[in-house]
Amino acid sequence: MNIKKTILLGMMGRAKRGFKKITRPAEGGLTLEQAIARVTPMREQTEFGGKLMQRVIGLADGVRQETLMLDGVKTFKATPEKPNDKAIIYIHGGAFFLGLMYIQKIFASYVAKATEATVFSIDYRLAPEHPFPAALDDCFAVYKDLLKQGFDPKKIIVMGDSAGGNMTLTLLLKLKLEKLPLPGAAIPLSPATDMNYSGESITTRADVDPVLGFDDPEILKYMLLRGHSSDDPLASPLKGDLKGLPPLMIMVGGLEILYSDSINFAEKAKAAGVDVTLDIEEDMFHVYPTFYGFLDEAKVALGKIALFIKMKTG
Amino acid sequence: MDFRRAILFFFLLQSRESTVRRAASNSGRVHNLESAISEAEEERKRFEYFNRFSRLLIATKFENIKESMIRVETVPTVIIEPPNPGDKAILYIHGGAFMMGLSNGCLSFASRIATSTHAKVFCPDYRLAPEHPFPAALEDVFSVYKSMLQAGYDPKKITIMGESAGGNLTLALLLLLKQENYPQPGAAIPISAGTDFRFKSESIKTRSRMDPWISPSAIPRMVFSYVRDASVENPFLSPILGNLHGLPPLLILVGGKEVVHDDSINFARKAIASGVDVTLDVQKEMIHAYHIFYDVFDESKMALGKIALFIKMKT
Repeated sequence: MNIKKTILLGMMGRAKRGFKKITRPAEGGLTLEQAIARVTPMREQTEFGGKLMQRVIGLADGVRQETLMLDGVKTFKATPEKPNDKAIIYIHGGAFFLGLMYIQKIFASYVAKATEATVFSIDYRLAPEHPFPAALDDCFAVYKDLLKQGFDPKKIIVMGDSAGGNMTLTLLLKLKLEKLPLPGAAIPLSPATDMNYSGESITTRADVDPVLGFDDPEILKYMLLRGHSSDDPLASPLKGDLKGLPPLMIMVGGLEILYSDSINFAEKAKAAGVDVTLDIEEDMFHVYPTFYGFLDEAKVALGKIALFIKMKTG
Repeated sequence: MDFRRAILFFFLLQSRESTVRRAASNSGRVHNLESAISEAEEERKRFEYFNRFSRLLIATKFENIKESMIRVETVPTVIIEPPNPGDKAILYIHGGAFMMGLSNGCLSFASRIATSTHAKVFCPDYRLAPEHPFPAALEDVFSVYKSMLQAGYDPKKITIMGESAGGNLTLALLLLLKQENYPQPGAAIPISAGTDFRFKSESIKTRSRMDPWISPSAIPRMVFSYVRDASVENPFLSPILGNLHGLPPLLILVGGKEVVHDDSINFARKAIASGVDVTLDVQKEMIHAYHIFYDVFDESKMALGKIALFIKMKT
């Protein structure tokens, strides 16, 4: 067994234990203070893990990093040596309540290098302090800002993992709703597509998933939605009208509780006439493409991402 | 610098140096078949040594892959079968200047691509030059393609691919299929392909110093041993001179640091002008046939992803 993968799985195992501990109090309900108290230890842990990863893996060479405010939203911009005319919006994961500044910067730098596009990764507002739809509003603001900067929407790619994969899809639905031009392509990685947890893998794959697991599966409804309906397509894109979405590449591992979220969304999107490429890596786990420095499979996945972008956005 | 990369470059440079030395000692000419054969044998020994060395160093096991050898007419062909193969098949034509046999590196790559695409991979161990000059190798890969059709594969589900000399054979085979009225495959993936045996492109000169593996001084010998009495203007030798209308979707991969860089660029340009669906991917920092060195370069791992996705989308 390879050592980097072992270290990664060790870190993931800790994350899973962290997620499991986040439950509602026995007496029911979840006040804001209680919610914050529950996510704080995990935030500290991911900050430490992220810093460590950045030290061990490092950023891709030749990629310039800047921190910008785009329409009031903090965004990390990664510019490759010779940027082409494409922009990638990258929306990180973390169950809507973790900021993954360090990890997202690493991945974004390798994405920029492999695609030669400029990558904007959004440090969106987090739940529970900022419940739905704050994070989506931030992503929407950044997209509009890129249009204002003069990027051709056909040359914009929206991509994100897990919660960010959810917002990749909900951003598309929001753009449709607001009658703004859709991007040229979108790449959700292990997205959560239904906040009602309807996917059967939530239970059938709970034991094999080394990363995600919740003892209280309803917790995100309380943490993120705070009373807002989980049937709103802007929270659960699986419930949306998917006609007219841009070409999608959905990437998912076989060893994850969100497996069905991808499969079900892909089926529904295909039925709605969307150009969907579904990529399943049976032996991989949640958001594996984002662990570039740790897994060969992540490098293979980045090759797919780069080629998909090239083929769909010219 | 990582040690695998260092070892690889050591072997590649050594191979390059021996070509350069040999070319200098006989002023770049190849005199007769006998000396060409003895040179080829020397080269094959060196290559076999590198093969064994890399097997010891890397030793990747493909546990779920079934490997078997069949004979298609007279062509020995290695079949690489993944667990639960789907309806796709790949004809993978290995490289090696038309002179080297099927290597460990090529078979490992074939196993990876079989795993990633769930396709059965056919690797013909075609006849080699200088003992068997043009068109022996092309005839052999044509036989294997025909046998795949006979085995019932839908041509739209077949991908033809190969690197270097195998990239040349990939493109030559597409032209031959057209001429013989056989159905084209669903996709083709020439990698670091030689497309023009006139060897007049810019990169032969401009990239000669940055190419750590292939020296332009190898060209006369290769022409002597494979082209022999044929004309380099023959499109089955220089596919860029062929009529490219009606070719299937192509994914063309090439490195920036190789003397045959322009062969890919020029071919892509001409194919696009002929209405072919072409995706060109140039990796500036990469060397000839870099996808083979999976354990050395990150770009090789990405190349595997690109190839797998292209096959998924086009076949």
